Amino acid sequence: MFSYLFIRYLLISIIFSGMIFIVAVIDPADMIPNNAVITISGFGGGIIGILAISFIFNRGNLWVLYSNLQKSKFKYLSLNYIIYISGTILINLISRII
Amino acid sequence: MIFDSISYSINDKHILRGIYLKLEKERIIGLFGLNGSGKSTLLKIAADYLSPTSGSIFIDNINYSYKNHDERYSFISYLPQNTFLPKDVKVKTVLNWFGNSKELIEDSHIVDQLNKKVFNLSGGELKYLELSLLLSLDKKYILLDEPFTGIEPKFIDTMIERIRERKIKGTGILITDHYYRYVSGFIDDGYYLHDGYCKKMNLEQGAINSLINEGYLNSK
Repeated sequence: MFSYLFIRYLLISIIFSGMIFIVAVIDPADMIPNNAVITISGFGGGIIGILAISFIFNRGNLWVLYSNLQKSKFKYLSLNYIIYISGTILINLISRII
Repeated sequence: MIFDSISYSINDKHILRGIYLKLEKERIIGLFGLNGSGKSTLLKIAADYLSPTSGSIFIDNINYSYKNHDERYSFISYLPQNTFLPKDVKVKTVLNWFGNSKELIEDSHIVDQLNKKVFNLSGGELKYLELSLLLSLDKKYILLDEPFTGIEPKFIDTMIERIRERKIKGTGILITDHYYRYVSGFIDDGYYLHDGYCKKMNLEQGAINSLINEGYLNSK
């Protein structure tokens, strides 16, 4: 259950951040001026932020779920922090690369 | 399961004052009270989501107030008022987490929803699913906070039947719900929470009459 939720959330994060990365950083058609790149990267960061928030709202009350199923509280906390930390790292990485 | 002298206060406001309540196996206790009387707070304390200002929770004569959260859940399961399932997973995935018990996979109302995501269930369908999942777990005590909210009447009857079956299997059940007509029909004991105090109801005079006397219902 833990890996199912985690992989699901992580994959969606990677797909969206990857799309933003391709458009904003590689800029294959060389059509986006530098300031626009910064704007798009900010926009991308915003999308990831919104996604992270929506994951948190979508997760239900995982603590109750984990408790009832007698899954370790450590895993519950890990899932929350991994989602939060990975979102933060992705936003940071994109803004630094750009 | 014993609630021993449970008190709970927030900012000098006393929500619960020295509550004593005994939940025995093969018994169903109904907890009634007006909105804000502390029913959900008491269940949250029992479920270890709130720490009481004072008092202890005993399970099989062991004080679980300072025990590991996971240890307590080897005995209890808890249905909160708000949904606890992740919204973006399919019903069949959730059933898998709960062990695909016979009563779940043979429930036609649940089977019809297997490929739906939790997000697409109505409020009543979701409550029905969550309650069914909890009742499928083999625990000694079950705490139900407003389990019937949003469920249509014929399915409430199904749920009541399952709660009774769970009781026969030896589980002690504590239930609080404003659907008093349903709840009063199958409880063994009733308690009324008012002003932080918990009073045992006299069910011999009829639960409805008792609730009128307590001021929960109008007399007409």
